[in-house]
Amino acid sequence: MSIEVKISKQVPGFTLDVKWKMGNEVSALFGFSGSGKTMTLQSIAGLLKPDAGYIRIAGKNYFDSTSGINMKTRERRVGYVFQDSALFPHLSVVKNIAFGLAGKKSDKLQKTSEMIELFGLAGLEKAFPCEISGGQKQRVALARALIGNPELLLLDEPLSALDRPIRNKMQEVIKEVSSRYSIPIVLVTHDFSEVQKLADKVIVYSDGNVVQTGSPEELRNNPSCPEVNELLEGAI
Amino acid sequence: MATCLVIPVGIFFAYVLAQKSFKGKDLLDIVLTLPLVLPPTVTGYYLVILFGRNGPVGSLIYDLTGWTIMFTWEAAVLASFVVALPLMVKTARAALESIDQRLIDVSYTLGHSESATLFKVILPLARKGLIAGASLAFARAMGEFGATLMLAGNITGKTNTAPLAIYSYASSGDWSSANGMVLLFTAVSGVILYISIKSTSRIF
Repeated sequence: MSIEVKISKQVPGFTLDVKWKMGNEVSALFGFSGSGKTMTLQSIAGLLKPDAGYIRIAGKNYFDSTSGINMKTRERRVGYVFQDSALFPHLSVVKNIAFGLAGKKSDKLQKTSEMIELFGLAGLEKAFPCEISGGQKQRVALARALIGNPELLLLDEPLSALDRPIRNKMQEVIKEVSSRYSIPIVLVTHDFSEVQKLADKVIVYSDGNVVQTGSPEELRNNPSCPEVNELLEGAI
Repeated sequence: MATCLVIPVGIFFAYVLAQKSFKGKDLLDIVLTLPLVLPPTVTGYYLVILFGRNGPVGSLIYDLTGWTIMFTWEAAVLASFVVALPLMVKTARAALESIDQRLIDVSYTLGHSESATLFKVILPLARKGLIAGASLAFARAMGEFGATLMLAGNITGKTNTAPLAIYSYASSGDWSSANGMVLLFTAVSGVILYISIKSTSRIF
C-alpha cells in the first residue's frame, strides 16, 4: 500500500501546500509546531477539507478536488492517535478499545482480548482512562485505532506527553506495530531522536511547505537549508 | 409534559448551535433566547398572534381540524414549552461545547456516523449539563404565569396551572389555600435547583 498526498489549504495567516508520497513504512512529518503537520493528518483523516489536491491511499481516492471526491471520515479506514490519547473518559479500557467494532459480540470480545494481550493491558480491562498512566493510555489509544485493521495509521505526536523512560518503551511498541501491521504509518513529531529510532523516511515541514525528504541519515548528513539545521540542533 | 417536549427539542437546537455553522445561526440563537428576556406577557402575546384562531399557524390548524389551541390545556403546555426552551438550549449548548472536539473526531475515524457519535459519545459526556438544563427548564415551565395567562386563560380544572391558582386564591382572599400552594411550590422549586446545582458541580 502507498499514500500519495498533494494538498493545499488556506486559512487566515497560513497556507499549507504540500506534496509527498510514501509506501509501507514509517514516515515522519518533522518540523516546528505550526508548520502544517497536524493539518496534513486531519486532511488525510477527512476531518479537514483541503482547498485543492488529492489524497490517495492504495490507489483509492480519499480526496480529489478535480473529480469532487471527498470520502467521509467514517468511510476512510484510518487509525488516528492523538498526543494526549483522547480516550473516551466515560468508557472503560475494554469499551474504548472495542469502540470502533461492529458485528457479533463474540467476535468483538475475541478481537478485543487479542488487542489487550498484544498491548500488554491485561488486568486493566475494567479501568477508566483517568485511572491509568500516560503510557497505558497511549497503548489503549493504539489498540483502539488498530482493532478495525485500518489502511494506514496516523500518529500525532503520540509520545511527546510521556516521560523519557516510558517514551523509550513506547517507541518499541510502535516499532512492533509497524512490523506486525504492514501499513503505512505517518508519525508527526518534532523530536529528531524519535525520528532516528522510528522512521524510515523523513518529510521535513516548514511553514506549510515540504523543504526536504529523505532518510534520517541523509537529513542529518546533508541538511538542505538553515531551517533543517536549526531543527536538528534543537533536537540533539 | 412541557418538559418532556423541551428535553429533545432543546437538545436538538443545542446540538445544531454547538456543532454546525450555517447562515442565520445568530438569528436562531436570538429567537430561541428571546422568551428568556422578554416579559412573559409579550411572549404570550406573540403566541396569541401566531396560534390564535386568526394567526398564521392557528388559522391553519383551525382550517384543518376545526380546533383551536386558545384556552385549552395544550395552550398551557405550549406557553410553558416556549418559555422553558431557552434554559434547556443554553445549558445544553454549554455542556455540548465543553466536550473535547477530538473525542468526536476519534469516533468518526473509528467508523461511527454522526448520530451514533451523538448517542455514544456526545450525550453521555454532556449528561450532567443536560440534567441541569432539564431541571431548570422544568422549574421554569412549572412556574410559567404570564404567557399561560395570555394564551390559555385561567379556567379552573382546565388551564389553571399552579401559579395561576395561587393568583386566583390570593385575589379572592383565600389565604390558607394560597399559603399551602406557595409553600409547596417553593419547596419543589428548591429541590429542583438543588438537583441542578448538584449535577453541574460534578460534571468532571
